[in-house]
Amino acid sequence: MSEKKTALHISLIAVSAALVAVFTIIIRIPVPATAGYISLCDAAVVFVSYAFGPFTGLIAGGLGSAFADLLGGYPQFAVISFVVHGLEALLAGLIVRKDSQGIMTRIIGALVSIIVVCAGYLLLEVAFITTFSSAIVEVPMNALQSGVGAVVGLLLYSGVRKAYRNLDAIRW
Amino acid sequence: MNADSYIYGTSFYHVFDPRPKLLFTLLYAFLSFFVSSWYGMVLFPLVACILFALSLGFGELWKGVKRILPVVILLLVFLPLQDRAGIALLSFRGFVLVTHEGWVRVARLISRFVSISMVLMLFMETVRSVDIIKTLRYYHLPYSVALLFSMILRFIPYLGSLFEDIRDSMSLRLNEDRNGVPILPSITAFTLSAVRMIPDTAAALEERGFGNGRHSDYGMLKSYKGLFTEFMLSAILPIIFFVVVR
Repeated sequence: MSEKKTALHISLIAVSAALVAVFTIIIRIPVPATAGYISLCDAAVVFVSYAFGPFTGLIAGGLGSAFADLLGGYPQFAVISFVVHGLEALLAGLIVRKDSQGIMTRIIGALVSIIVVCAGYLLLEVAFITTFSSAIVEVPMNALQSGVGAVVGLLLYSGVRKAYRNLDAIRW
Repeated sequence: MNADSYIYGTSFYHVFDPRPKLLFTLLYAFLSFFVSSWYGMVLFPLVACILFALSLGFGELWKGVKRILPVVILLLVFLPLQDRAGIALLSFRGFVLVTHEGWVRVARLISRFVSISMVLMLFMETVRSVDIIKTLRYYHLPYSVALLFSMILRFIPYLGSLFEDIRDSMSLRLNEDRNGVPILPSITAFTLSAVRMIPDTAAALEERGFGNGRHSDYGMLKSYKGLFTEFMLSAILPIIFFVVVR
C-alpha cells in the first residue's frame, strides 16, 4: 500500500470516527413521550459504512462509538460499543457494496444493522454486565434508536452522495 | 465541546504515573471477574468508590454513581426472575420472590459492574487524553494508530462546534412562526462539510512528512527512579487485595 493511500486512509478513518462520536454525543432527537433522547450514532455508522465501505465502517464505527463512551463518562461500555457498532458497520457495508447500491440493498443493509445492534447489545451485556431478563428490557429502546438511526443514515447517505460526487473516490 | 474527560486535581492518584495506573486499572477490572465471597463482592466496589472519592471528591463520585445507577436498579428489579428453582430467601403468599442463587448471581454482577465502572472512570478522569496516548505508545501502540487516536481527539471538538454553528444558522432559516431545529438539513450540511475535510487532511499529513519517515514523533513519558516502585505497587496491591477478600 502506498504511503499516499495510507495518509488518505488515516484521514478518512479519523474524520469518520469523529463524525460517529459527534453524532453520538451531541446530535440527539428529543422523544416527548419518554422525555428522553434518541442518539443518532447509528445514522453515522450506517452512513460511514455505505459511503466508505465495510472496513472503514468497521474501524470508524467501532472507534467512534467507543470514544463517545470513553469521553461521555461510560468507559465500561466502550468495548461493547466498539464490537457492536464495528460489526454493524462491517455487515451493512458488506451488503451495500460499491457496485450494488439499489434501494432494496440499502434497506436490507439498514435492517441488518438494526438486528446487529439489538442482538449484539443483548448478547454482550448478558455475557459481561447484566442478566438476560434485565438486558431484554433494553431491546425495544435499542431497536427504536437503531431503527431511527438507520432511516436517517439512509437519507443522509442519499443527500451527501447527491451533493458530493467524489464520494466514491475516497471509498476504501 | 471538550474531548477530554480529565478533571484537574492534585490527589495522590492524579500524580501517580499513568503507565502503572493503567496496569492497576486493568488488573483491578480483570480480578473483579473472579471475586466470589460476600466480603469480596462488597469490598471490591467499595474500595474503588473510596479511591474515586479520595481522588475526585464526593461530588464527582455521586456523578459517577448516577451514571451506573440505572443498570444496578434494572438488575435489582429483575432479581425475582433469577434462578427461580433455588432455595427461597423471600416469598409472598407461597410465591417465591428471591432465591439464594438468584441473589448471589445479581450481587456478583452488581459488584463486578460497579468495580469496573468506577476504576475505568477514575482512570479517564485523572489522566489527560494526551498522556493516555503517550501511555499507549509506551506499551508499543504503533505510531499510525497513535496518530489516528490523536486525530480523532482533535476532530471531535472541532466537528462538535462546526455542527453547532451549522445548526444555529439552519434554525435562522426557519419561518418566524416555527421554532426548533431542522435536524436533517443540519446533519446533511454538517456531514458534507466533514467529508470535504478528508482529502485536505490527507494532503496536510503528507505535507507534514507522514510516510517519508520525517514526521515528528510523540513526546515520551519520562522514566524516573520511582517508576519501578509504582509499577510494583500497581501489580502487587490489587493481587494481595484479591487474595485476601476473594
